[in-house]
Amino acid sequence: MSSANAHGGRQDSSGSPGVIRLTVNGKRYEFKVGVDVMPFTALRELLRDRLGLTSLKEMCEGEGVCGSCTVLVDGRPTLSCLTLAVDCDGKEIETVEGLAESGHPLLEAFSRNYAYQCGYCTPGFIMSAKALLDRNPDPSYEDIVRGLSGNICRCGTYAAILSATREAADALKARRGGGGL
Amino acid sequence: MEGAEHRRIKRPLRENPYLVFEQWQFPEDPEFKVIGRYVEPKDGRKITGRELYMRDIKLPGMLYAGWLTSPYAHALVRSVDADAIRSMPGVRDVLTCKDPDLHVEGSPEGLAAAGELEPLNVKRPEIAFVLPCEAVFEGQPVGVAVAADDMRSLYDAILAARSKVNWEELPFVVDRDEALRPDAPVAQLFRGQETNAVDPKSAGLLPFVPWVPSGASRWEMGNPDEGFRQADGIVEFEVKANVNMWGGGGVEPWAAIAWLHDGHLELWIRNQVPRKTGLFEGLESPPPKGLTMEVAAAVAGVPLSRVKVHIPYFGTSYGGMNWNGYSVIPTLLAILFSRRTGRPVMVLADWSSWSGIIGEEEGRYRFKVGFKRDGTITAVEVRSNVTWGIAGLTMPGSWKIVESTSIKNFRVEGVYPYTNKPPAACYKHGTTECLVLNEVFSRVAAALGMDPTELALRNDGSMGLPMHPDLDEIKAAQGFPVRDSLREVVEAGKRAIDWDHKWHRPGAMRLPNGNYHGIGFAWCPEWQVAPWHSVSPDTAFQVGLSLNEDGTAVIRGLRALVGNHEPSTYAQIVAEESGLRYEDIEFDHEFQDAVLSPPSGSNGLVWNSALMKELGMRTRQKLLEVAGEHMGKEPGELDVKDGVIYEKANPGNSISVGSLVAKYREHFAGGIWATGRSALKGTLIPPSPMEAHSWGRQAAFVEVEVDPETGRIEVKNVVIVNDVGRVVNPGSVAGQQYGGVYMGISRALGEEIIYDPNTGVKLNDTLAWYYVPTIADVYPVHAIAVETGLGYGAYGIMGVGEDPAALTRAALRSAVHNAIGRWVNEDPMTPDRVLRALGRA
Ligand code: FES
Ligand code: FES
Repeated sequence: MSSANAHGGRQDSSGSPGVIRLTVNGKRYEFKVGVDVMPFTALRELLRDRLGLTSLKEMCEGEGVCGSCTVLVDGRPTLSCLTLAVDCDGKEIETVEGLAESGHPLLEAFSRNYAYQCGYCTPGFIMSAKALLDRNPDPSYEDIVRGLSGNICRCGTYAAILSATREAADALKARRGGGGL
Repeated sequence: MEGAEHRRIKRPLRENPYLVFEQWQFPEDPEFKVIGRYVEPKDGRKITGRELYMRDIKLPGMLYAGWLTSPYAHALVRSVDADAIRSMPGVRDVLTCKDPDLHVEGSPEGLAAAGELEPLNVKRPEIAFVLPCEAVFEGQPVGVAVAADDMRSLYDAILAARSKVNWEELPFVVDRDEALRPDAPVAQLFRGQETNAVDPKSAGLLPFVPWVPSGASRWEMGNPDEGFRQADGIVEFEVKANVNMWGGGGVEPWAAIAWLHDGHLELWIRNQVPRKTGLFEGLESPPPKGLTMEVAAAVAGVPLSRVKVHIPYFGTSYGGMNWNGYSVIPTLLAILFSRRTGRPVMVLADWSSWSGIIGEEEGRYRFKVGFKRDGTITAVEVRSNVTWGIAGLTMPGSWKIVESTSIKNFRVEGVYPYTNKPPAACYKHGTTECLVLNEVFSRVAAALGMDPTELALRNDGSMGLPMHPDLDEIKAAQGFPVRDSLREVVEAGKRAIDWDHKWHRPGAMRLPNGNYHGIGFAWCPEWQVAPWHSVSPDTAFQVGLSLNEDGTAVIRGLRALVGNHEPSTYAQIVAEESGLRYEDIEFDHEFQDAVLSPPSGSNGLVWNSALMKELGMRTRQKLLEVAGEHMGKEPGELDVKDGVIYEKANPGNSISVGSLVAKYREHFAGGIWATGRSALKGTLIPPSPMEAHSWGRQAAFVEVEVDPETGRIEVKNVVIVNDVGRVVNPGSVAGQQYGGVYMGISRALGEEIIYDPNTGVKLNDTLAWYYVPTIADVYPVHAIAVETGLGYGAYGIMGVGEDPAALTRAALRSAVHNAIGRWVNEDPMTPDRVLRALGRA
């Protein structure tokens, strides 16, 4: 039996330090609160510093406006710079590294369409696009615009990002046995 | 060539309602196997997050360093309680502005002896010290720098440092015109001047434009007074362009790493010019190159042989930030801290110190333009008061408009007073030149009621000469195709936007929804740094190629990769010329001993195409020679295709590149090399700088609706047409085109750093408050790349990076005038300024 403690995370009945358990890209991790992760540690720092997930970029230094640190937490696009790691106890987290391992069509579509220039914003865009396609497998271009409007690309790659996202939707549909736009 | 039909090619980049991309060639243009064709990009690791940017790098025992930034527009740090900061948890080292280590000038370690820092930081009116005691703008690194064990300790220490400093606030001036008044406060005391006036001579004004003498603040060509006398009409007007944010500051916050250990210096830098290149060195006063390896070695006190430089990928860093003295501060501080602590040190610039860096200069421009009834422009006078930046190199009005028109008479004056605003760098830049050119043309077209595309064609030329017949003859004599670039881009753009049906007299079209409809056009010459620089014989550019036993190859050279898919583009050219397969070629961009042309100035590929072409040709030659020996044939009897060398008369007699390399290792061990000088032989070199005309032209067409009730401008459609000379990588070209369009539109509509006149402090320098377009601002963009072969690079390549941003901004200004029939004389054209132009505010 465990309960949320003052530092976030959970404390077991023996009173040993709290731990948080996260599933990141399908693998399970446990972090000791106060040792591996501080109560104030942002999810972004934890994933970068402890797991080496360099896809979590940062443009706005944690103001929550650029979207370049976007990850999926239980399937929802989440700004990892503004999310406390301890609040993610028991949750499933997905990053671009996970999509690369599973060979998600979004990666192929972003590459084929040159939907990146400097590439700094790209992992964040791909995660927002993944969340969009998960909840709306057949988005119109207007749906894509709405779904990705929380991310900034200073290189202005938006038009190709639209193409890439739509192309990935078609590829997913083809996998499921449907046609494309 | 007139009348010939273009061959329009659509590349397999998926179109959508917001993007169409086409390459336009002529049927007689050369056919390539790899160049100009779609290829898979080679830098795909960026997509997976596995490519490292500066802040992703971690070294054993690395310290994190940063600085205090000034909360005041102008202030002195009187004293610092350094001991209190030193005693904070996790703090390893503290430097204050009193420490001699921090001064570039007169440092006992010989920083001044590095020499190149002198023009960089002292002569040009930028920032003289790495960490001064006098802050001359809000956000400037000042007073204290700290190195700590981790980022959190660093931020805590910097926060605490704010209250450990004894400040003296000083009077400030942020307005450019006020700065020139005799009673204005002196903005930058450390210069020892009594006024804010910059003497271009002592500031080292560069002879960037060969027809403007070094150090001039006034320049004339022809006889402007006579030109005005001959005019049938004269327009006089003023335009004010406000400052916007240097884009790179807004994407990947700046950082640098230095590790000085055992007499070796290892650097991770974000600098577009990591090594001396020789470029510009033939000039009387070469521009600064930022912190090159050579300078770093001198600062660290180690021989060049013990410096190793890494250039991680850059998050949006187009444009010449390295031209700005400010850009060397993180690296210099990192070297100093590493020397003092013996540890690797990453210096992290905080947001406020970088977001203030100006992307495009602030300027007040006063124009007088004379013209004839038929549209011939007879004289142009431009007087400007502009932030020192690229403008300080050229004097607005003396470069692009001279380079691309037949106008014979100019009078140009420029002043660049010091103020308490940050320095400027350039970034897909164009205000001072593209805006000047297009303000002149748009106002004359409006005054005459003439179609602005016609006006452009009437005055097209270079250095006072008309394009036809004079320049056509020079084109032919220099070996260029006699193509009419402006006519081609104008015709392509007009067709794509349906100009002939949509263009109307200013203010003449009201739509059923009550909005005004407008359509605008802007044009400029190609934006490569003037071609005379491309052909400096002093360049030290070099590139190598090594071949492996598995048939793969690596291009080797030192080059900052900024996001234009450079590895793909280079591999395409080498594959085309060598016969190797594109898929088999990689690019090692951190090879220390050969330096490629840097990206700044849209000039990179002009040079590097020549280098890559030469490298590919030499590779083919080498393969044929060695294979000839192996097969008992003359090289001329053989050919290379898809990584296989074969006998032309008997293709079955063949050997793969990999097998050949494995068998004859000793022939390939030294690599294959190409140098700038040898590569130049394959390009068209103008006989002298004054005969280096700019042949290529670019155009933008923008359609808008303006709501007269709210002043809101809605962009409906953009056509961007670039004569790129020759497309190498369509994906890269398309990206630079539509990416630049978004930048140009956001600059025209809202990008502006706002300063509080009462405090001189920035009011909107974070991404939450500064307007940056998102995907929700996406506009339909039709990008057309025209291939005339009129550039100075190999295959007639010219640059594309800067034009779309500069042009779209200018075209949008003329579209808004076409809509409402009034000029919005201040940029960006925010709704309040539009309403003011309409007389409604
Ligand atoms: S870093 Fe910008 S939203 Fe997280
Ligand atoms: S690709 Fe550079 S910021 Fe998006």
